[in-house]
Amino acid sequence: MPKISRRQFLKLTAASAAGAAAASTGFFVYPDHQALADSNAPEEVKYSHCVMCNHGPRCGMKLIIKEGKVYRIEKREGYGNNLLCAKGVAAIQELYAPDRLLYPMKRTTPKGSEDPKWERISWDEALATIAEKLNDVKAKYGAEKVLFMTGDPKEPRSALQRLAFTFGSPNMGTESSTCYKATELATKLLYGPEWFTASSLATGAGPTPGKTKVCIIWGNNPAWCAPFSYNGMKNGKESGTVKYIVVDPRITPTVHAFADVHLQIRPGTDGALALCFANALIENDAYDKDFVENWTHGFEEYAAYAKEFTVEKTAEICEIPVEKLEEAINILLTEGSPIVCKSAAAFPHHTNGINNYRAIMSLIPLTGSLDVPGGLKIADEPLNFDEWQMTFEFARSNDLLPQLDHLRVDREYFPVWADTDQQGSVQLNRLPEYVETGAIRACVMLGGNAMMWPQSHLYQKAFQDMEFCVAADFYIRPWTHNYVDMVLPAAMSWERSCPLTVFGRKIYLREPVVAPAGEARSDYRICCDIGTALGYSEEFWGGGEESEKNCIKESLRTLKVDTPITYEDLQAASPNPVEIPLKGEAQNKKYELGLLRPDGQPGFTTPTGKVEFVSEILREHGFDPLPTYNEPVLSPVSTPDVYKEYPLIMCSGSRVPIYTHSKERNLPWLNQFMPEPIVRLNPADAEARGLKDGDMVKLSSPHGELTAKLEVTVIVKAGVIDMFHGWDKANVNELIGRDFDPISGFPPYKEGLCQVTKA
Amino acid sequence: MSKYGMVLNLDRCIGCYACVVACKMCYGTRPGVNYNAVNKVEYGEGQDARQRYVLTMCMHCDNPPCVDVCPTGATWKTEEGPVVIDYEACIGCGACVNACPYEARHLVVDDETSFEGSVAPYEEESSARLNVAEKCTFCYERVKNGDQPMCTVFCPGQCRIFGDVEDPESDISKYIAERGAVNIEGTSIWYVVPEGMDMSMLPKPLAELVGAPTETETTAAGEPAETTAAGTNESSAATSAANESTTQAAPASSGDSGSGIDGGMIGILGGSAVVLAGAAVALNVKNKKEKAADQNENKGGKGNA
Repeated sequence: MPKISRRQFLKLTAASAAGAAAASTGFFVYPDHQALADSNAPEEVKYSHCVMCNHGPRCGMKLIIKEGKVYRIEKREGYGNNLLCAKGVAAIQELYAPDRLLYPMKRTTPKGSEDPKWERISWDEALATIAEKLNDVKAKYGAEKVLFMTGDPKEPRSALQRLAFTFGSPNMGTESSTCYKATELATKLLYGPEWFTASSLATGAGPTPGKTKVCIIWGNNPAWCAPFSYNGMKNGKESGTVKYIVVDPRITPTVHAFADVHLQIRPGTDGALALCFANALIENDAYDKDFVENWTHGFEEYAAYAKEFTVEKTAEICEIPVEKLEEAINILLTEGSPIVCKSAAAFPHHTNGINNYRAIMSLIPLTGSLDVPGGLKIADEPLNFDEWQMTFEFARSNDLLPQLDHLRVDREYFPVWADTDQQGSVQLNRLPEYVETGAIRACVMLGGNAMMWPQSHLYQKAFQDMEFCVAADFYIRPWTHNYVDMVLPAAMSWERSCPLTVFGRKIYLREPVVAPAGEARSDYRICCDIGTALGYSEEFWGGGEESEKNCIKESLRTLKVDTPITYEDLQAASPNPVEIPLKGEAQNKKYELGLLRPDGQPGFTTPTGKVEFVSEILREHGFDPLPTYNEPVLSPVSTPDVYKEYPLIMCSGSRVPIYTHSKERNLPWLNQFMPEPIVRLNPADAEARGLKDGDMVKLSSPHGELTAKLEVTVIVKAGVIDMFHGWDKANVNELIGRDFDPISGFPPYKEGLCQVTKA
Repeated sequence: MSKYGMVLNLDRCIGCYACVVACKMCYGTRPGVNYNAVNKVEYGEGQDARQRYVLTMCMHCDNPPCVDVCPTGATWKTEEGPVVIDYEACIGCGACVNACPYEARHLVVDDETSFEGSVAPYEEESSARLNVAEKCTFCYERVKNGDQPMCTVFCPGQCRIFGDVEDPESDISKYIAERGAVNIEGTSIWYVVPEGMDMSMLPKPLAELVGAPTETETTAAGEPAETTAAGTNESSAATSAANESTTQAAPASSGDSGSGIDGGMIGILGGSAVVLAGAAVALNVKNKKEKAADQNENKGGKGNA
């Protein structure tokens, strides 16, 4: 293809005189920071990674750069995850989106005004104001009255922890208050609060072909929520040695890619199904007696309870045909173990979430599939990286948090969460109550989103009612930022180097590939700058441009390895990683070897030292210790009267392959595929209502209503709706109640009742 | 002698749109101009029902009707097979767009970029072109440099296999043999069809759509765009009527998208759980003509303004 030079281009556009934006000069006026002067400029290649969907470890990217601008993404060879999805590829569009926030802004109208009338300010003014406000709250009420929270991206968590704990507040929380953390909590109740075992096992894993016998993909659609993982899984499937049971109310691409049996379950009833599986395994002597006898607690009680879940009863509860259920059970009985379960954050979004998930994950110890080849593995020789890949020592959750723990704002409401939290993140879901009672009076938010909560308006009001709230983000997002005092421009992934990326034991340095747009700063630098302004210059190295490097150096300095690794080592290796070798051999059954407990004794960190089918932690807190099955708070069974008026089951929050939560709606490459809010309905339900594909419909629940476009599709189960979240003009979370799971405090996004009618 | 071809393994496709977006990234294509498409289709009943994705793109026909109608020789079939376009020689007459039975060509007539009033680095080159036909070239330039087409590189399902189908030892030749991939006769595209999916959901063989090449030449080249547009309105009404009952075109057709976005790409072909016959291609043809009509209207509208 012939290349057209810039000069020819200008000539062409001038001649065509097309386009509404044509200026008096006869051609488009392009912002200086975007236009390329010479399209034949030499190419540079740099390496970074993607944070568009925020899974970890992140997908690698090879970036082709001209004159300091990224203009193409290529495959990063030799890197763990490198098959980018649509969102990953669209990262380049996000980088150059013209509505990016480029400067610190302060509101000039009182909070509560419709328009904040943002006014550009300098970083100096922003930092001085933040320091003054936060120190003021600290002096008057105590440091713990300041909340520190991260949303999406998740990357700044460690830096914000360092800032919170140094300032004197234990109240640092994350968006994981409604996401991953409850799967981890359920896992901790089984295996003990020790974080490393829990984080190894929390969401399960895919199978090891040749070793795993059965893989239960439970309420998880990696094809859309984690496309990078799909290819490897599909190759495993095509190897033909593993049987797959897929449990999902929807007929997703994961169903047709993997399922030997698909159980199209009624949302919210998964715990009953898991107990039915357990009962079948126990009754048929198909469980691991040796493991159960030596390493578990409460088996008799658990087995007795599971006995209630006969095939017939369970089929009725779960709305699964008896023969399908028998087919699935038959796979479990004839294939044997080890089995694996692969899941995600779906079950914690039930009012019985923790117990449903405990029931599911109890199948792993029951079948002796824990930490054996082909089963669910606990990683070897933990490194002291925290969940977002800087060290605990950098985040200061080891040295400072224990002294501040009694000031946690969440213990009164969610004691099980607070008592088992080793990483230092409070449960945020009672934020309106925290603010109303004066327990929280100010907030530093990095990437937060008020729409992530049910009854979002209460959370918007909570931010509004605080004495001071500052947010850092890529854009001004009105549904959150209209309620805060100040917004700060945050640098995107390709503009920064923190935190580290760690694949197992391989550590990668990410070097910024382009300069931050406008006056954007990396979250890590923002934390260091705020920390310095607050008077902690020493702890934050005086802030400034070297902040990110200082943060990485501090993490590497405190990394517990025999041979220290330096920043320069990482730089020299980049784009390749520095690998930390295991000291010994990789081990199976680490619980036998005393590798899972701080005291070196065999067993687990639970109160009984064993895997607890019956949780002593729950018993101590006054909960039923069994993984009991309870109907959703709103369901055809528990509230038949409500069901008459709202005869559809609400299932929100499932993933689409083109958006992450409320993000990326502004990117035309992605937005073209779903330009507006969509409610999905099964053809039978649509027909019964006289609705057809493309109609505008009203979705209503006992909590509210919204308008969206109808998509009639066979992928949803009859009697169940499916709606993607994160639309500010059609926020499905306003239709969800604050009926929190009493153990985790998680909201019921994936159950409840609703109705769809013509708008 | 070599012939580049591509296998689209629909059994592995998850409908994630990475291929469409990767292509847009690589070529910085204008809003609404996508060189490839992900067409949702649904079939089957109850729990056996399926939503699948028919991937479409330029079929790189053996005897491409688009090449035959080009008045300036701006588009031709290379000796390796890909059909390419010389944008400097293209006069934007749209004859090739109308001649293509697979709706694979786009007439770029609107001077739009992704974000109004700004040109991002990735679209610097593409935004220099206007009033030209554009389409998938099998990433001819990349392939000549030994790279894979961009849609193939960033496919999370690795369901696109590209290579020389004339070489029996090539990966693609082996893949075709092992997986029983089906060639759309007269084109360079093969499909691996999932169990249960009706073959009629695939694009039709070239000969079924255009008849003998000479005939095509006469019809398409001799027929001005206006006539095509007028004819389309009728068939469009017929399509709408058909939507009400059984088979269904994309709900968001070019008519209401206003930006010339491929209807088939964002909508559902086939709609309700009704097994449909031949909707993908037959309706694509209609959509394409509607789009051409729209584009002509848009062009006129801008001129008047």
